[in-house]
Amino acid sequence: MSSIPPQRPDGTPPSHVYELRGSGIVANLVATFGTVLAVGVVVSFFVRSPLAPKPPFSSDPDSTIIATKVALARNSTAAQIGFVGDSSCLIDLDVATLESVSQWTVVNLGTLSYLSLDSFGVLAGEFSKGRQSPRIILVVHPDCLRVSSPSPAHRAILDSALGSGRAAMLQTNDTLSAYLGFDEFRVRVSDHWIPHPLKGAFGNRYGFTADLRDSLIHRKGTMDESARFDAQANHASAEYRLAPRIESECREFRSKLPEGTRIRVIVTPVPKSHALKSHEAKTREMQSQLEDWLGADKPAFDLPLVMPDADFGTVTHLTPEGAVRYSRLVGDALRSWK
Amino acid sequence: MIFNSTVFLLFFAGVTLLFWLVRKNAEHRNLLIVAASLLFYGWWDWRFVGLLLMTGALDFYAAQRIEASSEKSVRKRWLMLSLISNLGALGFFKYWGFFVDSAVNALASFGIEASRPMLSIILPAGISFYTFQALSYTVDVYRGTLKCDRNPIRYFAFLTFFPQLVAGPIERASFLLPQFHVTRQVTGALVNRGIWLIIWGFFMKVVLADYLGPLVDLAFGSPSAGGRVVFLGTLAFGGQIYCDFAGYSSIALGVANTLGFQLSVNFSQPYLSGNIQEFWRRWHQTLSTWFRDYIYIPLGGDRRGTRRTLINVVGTFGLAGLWHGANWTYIIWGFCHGVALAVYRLWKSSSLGRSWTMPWPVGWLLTLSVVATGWLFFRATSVEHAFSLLTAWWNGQPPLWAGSYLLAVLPAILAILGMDFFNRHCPWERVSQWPLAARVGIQATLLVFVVARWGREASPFIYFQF
Repeated sequence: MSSIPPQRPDGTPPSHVYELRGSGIVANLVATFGTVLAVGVVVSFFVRSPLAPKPPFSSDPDSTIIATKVALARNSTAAQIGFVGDSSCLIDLDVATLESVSQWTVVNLGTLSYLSLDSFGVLAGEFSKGRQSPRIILVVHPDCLRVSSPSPAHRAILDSALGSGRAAMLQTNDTLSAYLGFDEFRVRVSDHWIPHPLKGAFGNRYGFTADLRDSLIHRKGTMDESARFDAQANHASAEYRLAPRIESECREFRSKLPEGTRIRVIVTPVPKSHALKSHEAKTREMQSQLEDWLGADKPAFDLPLVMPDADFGTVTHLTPEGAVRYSRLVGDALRSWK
Repeated sequence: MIFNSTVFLLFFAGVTLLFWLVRKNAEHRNLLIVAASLLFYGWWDWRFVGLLLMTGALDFYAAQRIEASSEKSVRKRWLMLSLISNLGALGFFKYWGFFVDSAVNALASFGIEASRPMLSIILPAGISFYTFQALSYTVDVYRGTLKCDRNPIRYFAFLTFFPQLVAGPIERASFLLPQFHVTRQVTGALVNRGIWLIIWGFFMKVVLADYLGPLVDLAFGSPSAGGRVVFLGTLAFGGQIYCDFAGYSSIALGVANTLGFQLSVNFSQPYLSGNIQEFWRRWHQTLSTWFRDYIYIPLGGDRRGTRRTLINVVGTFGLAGLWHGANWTYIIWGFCHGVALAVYRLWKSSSLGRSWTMPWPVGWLLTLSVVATGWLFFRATSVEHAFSLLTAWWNGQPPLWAGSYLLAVLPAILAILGMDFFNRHCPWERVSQWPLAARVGIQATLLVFVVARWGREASPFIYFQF
């Protein structure tokens, strides 16, 4: 180490001196970052190779729901009816109640409104494979029908869970971690043994994604809403309509199903305080249109399109008690489906 | 600007480059440090810069007046002005709501209705840290243990030095200020130590603390989280706050080292402590010594008999609790530690305590029990919340996901203890003697985890709110 240099002619001392020669800083930095880079290259090759395990899809609740529903669609061989649809299907239909009232064996394959109708068709097609004249019920909330564009990220998760795409993640970003393959490594490898906590009310109810998956399997696809509806809060517009994309998606939906598949359509209810006067008439009109595009059985089940506020957790979801009440009505209606 | 952000990495790279360019002139270096620090601080909210400069300027002037005067009353007046301006700003921004709410609630308990003055106050980041650093400067000048600095740039470089501005270490002017006077030597050993500390700091924050954060939220936010989950959640919070704060301190030390400066060590593996006194010698050391030197000793310390000593200990810790935030939970946390320390002192002064040394595992478990109980109050949102959680420790029914919780928390807790064990036995002085390959192996392993988790669930450092 050299001694501190003398003051400059103007009296001010030099600020600092660098004594870096022979210290190995460059070697230290290059070797450290180089090793990280090398690990990244190896990981990138590994996750793209057939050696990489399939992802368990447990890094977030949406992936967990979608992947579990794919598994249920494939494994529910005893189920006679498959319900597919958005989150109102997932939450409003309690399978235990449906089965006890209707005497049918059913499975709830409801997912999220981020997926399109043709994605619901993919799940329905998966359920219908190898069955003689399968029965499918499409369950959607009016809100799902006006969404202008579904989420490609959620569709990628579905494709990935079906095995027809690369490991997909909702939280993809263009970080170094993604480029080095660490994100995919996490999805394919470490997610198998690291539990992921859920946030908010779903966290309180289900804890972790793995527990959510176990609960979905145990309850044949039903999930509970933890929130309570607040009529005073600001909600999205109560004016519902069919988005232009719906017609083509209905035809896509139909095309995913084998010949002879019986289809019904259910539009789930909205809270009374939220419904416009014209809601029921308008919704029946939309439902009829959907049935035409899907080639569904008619007439539609006679189910309520509006229910008391107390039965709701949110505008789109019923509370667990509300779901049991609604499922009884659906179960009753199913009895007449010959 | 937070350390665990890409913008900070760019900022740090820019400052390092500019630092090299100004190497020939100390005045330019100090000016660069002030400018960079104000940019760093103003990144949150530029309005806070004004407050920092204002209180800092007043302290700078007050210290000169104190030193210039030989009259005790004049010196005291300027000291009081500095104390009032610093503590006034701290009190207003941090404690206004707390004191008003407490007063209104106290009046309400006597049946007197009082309305709350409506004021929306944003807490300036790190105000408790830089206020204490500024206070120590004027108090030390008043005591005659420090000569005041008449160069404002140098003074502000000391006050605003960006690595430690918002979350410490709380530096004494006698240690940090002279470093801005002299030519610094940026040696290879210092830079390598800086790199080592920065990587460890990022690992603690980005990998461990940010992993534990959502788990802690789950345990403390879930009304159905009973017994085992609340207990594990409290341990998880102990791990989170440690990795968060010690991680920040480590990065701060590392950044300062790469610029040729030294900062005080703030954490020394506190969770391996065998008693509560040792814990406080290893946890947030710069705050502990600040309270010791400016509160505990002026109150009489241990010079006025056992009873007064115990009162001083408990009172000092109560104030340390209040320093953390405007909430009774922090004050109870402080008192918990104060009482534990008082009990420990009584034990050590008893004949049994003097003749018998408690086995380390027993002392360690007792210390962790006290610390964990304190953390429960510290993390709870209110005293009622804390007591409901405390009750749940003993009789709450575990939720269905309790098994997953154990699986998620336990490896992180073991990793933290393992990390502390490693750092206790392999400090930098020893590691620096190892072959480069061994050091690089450890650094690269830590960095792989950091890169893999960078940007995921990134959260600000917990101590910024204090």
